[in-house]
Amino acid sequence: MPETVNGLGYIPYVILGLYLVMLLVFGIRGYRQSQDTEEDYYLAGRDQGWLVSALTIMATFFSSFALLGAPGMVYRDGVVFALFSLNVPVAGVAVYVLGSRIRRIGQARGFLTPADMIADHYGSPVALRLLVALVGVLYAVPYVVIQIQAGGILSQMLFNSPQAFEIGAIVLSVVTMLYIMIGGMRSVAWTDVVQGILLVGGMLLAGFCAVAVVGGPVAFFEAVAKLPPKSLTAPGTTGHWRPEILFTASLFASIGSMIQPAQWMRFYAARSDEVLRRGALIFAAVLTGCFFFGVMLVGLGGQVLYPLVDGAGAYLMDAGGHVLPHPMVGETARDFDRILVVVLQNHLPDLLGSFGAVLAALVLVAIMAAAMSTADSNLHAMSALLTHDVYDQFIRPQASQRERTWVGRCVIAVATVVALVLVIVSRHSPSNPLGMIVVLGLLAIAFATQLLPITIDMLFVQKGTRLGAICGAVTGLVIVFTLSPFWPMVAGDTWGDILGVMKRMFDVGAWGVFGNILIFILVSLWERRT
Amino acid sequence: MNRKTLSFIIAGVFLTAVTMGSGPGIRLINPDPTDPLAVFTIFGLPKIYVWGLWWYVVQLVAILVAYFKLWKDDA
Repeated sequence: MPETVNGLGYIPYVILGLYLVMLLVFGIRGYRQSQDTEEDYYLAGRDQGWLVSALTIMATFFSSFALLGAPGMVYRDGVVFALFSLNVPVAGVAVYVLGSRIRRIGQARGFLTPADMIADHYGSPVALRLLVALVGVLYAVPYVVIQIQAGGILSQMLFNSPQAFEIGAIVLSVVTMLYIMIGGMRSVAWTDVVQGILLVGGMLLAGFCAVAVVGGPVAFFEAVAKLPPKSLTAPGTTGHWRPEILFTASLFASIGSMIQPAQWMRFYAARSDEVLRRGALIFAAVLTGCFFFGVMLVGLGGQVLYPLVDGAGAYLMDAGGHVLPHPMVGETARDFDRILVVVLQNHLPDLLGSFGAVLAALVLVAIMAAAMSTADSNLHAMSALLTHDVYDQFIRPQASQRERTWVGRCVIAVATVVALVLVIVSRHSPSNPLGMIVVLGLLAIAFATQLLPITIDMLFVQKGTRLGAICGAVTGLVIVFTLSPFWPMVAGDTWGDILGVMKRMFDVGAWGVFGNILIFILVSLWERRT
Repeated sequence: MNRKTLSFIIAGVFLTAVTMGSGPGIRLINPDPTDPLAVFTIFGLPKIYVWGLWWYVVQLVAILVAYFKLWKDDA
């Protein structure tokens, strides 16, 4: 018999088991209804209705970032990060304003991936196609990695086993991989519907639980009002969330997330503009509320229950000067993401008995759902990019539809294994370069945001040139990489001072977009004149 | 009101809400954590949280108007 889940009995096993079986059933159902064509495998025949579209867009947008990362960031930095929720309505507007145009053009021209449309618009079948595919992979890989990591964190916190992290990461990866490989977009979208409902319910339930644990709304906000001043003001405990950083991160994170390949393909898959119009409204209204009234309250409740300061009001710090979570939450500066699970696990069963254990288990399954719904969409999109934009175009253009879908399935398997190995190797590395969920998530979004100038030009302005688009995107990607945590691993402390100043001024993605736009405009003007 | 004017007004309101809610507008209400006389709450809630909720409502109203008045015709 397995060991009981900490404080929650066997209920999470049952709920989690039922959930995983249901996902596989959806995978098989999707396979039975599918046809062996690329369009069906990647876009479900371009016939998704409003409910499926709305929920799959929502589920793809919200990942472990929402259920583990965001409460973790509020727990670390305080109420200022709750304002990050305001990026969600911006993303909602993008669903309609950008999505409806992308859908119309995509449907009229039979496009399958973002690179199809961009390469066609700028007349660049090789360079821009490959560049756009690269941007997609740069977004998808870190995003898949953080979802698998979240599965590991969740498992590690729930099960008393030294290999719990690895087992959780492997189970999440394998189940996700299986149902995407079996059923393609249809399975991904159907599972996203269930996962989207779980996600919305889980976010609100988590907030409700956090408030209940502290003693109800009045007691909760009275306790919050007594938190250290830094937790109630910008730029927060660590001093990171200055208004300019928060603004650029919110703005570009929302739009960048909406033009990443998985969402772009969901716009293609929508049946009509009306589908996206309704989806946009649901997205903006419901999800922002889930953030404000749900998970953000968990982070604040966490600060009340597990203070970051000692009796004398001094913050707990590590040797490097990083703020540390309460010892009952974690031991390192990367453990803030655990707060939601700690609150649920340690308090809810005591407060509500068996019912509390069921509620806690449901939220934990919602975290799993959040991670899987984003991992599946990104793995599926990455498969489309590598199969349709690389294999079909440059390796075997004569491949049959059946061969293409099977190559796509193989890509999913390989990408899952690579992401899993990255997570496990990184976990055993002393520096753990993959670090906190929010940091890696924002970096992935920063890469995806480099498609923004091209997208805006293509859909609205139509003045840019092929060379301008290529030079702009390359510039943006180079800037983002230079400002990323990976730069010091490659170049040591080169330009360390100036890069540090830049990072403190604006979000990394915003710097990339500034450089991208500037070069895009200058090169386009020069190319038009010559 | 014609469609173009309404589009500009809605876009203006929405962008203002984004800039004020999660942007430099925070400075207007952000208490100084080092000031012993600073007030951190309003109506019993953290000031910054209330500020965010208010601009969420403004964003939502702008989206609802766009949904019923502008996007409906397009779709």
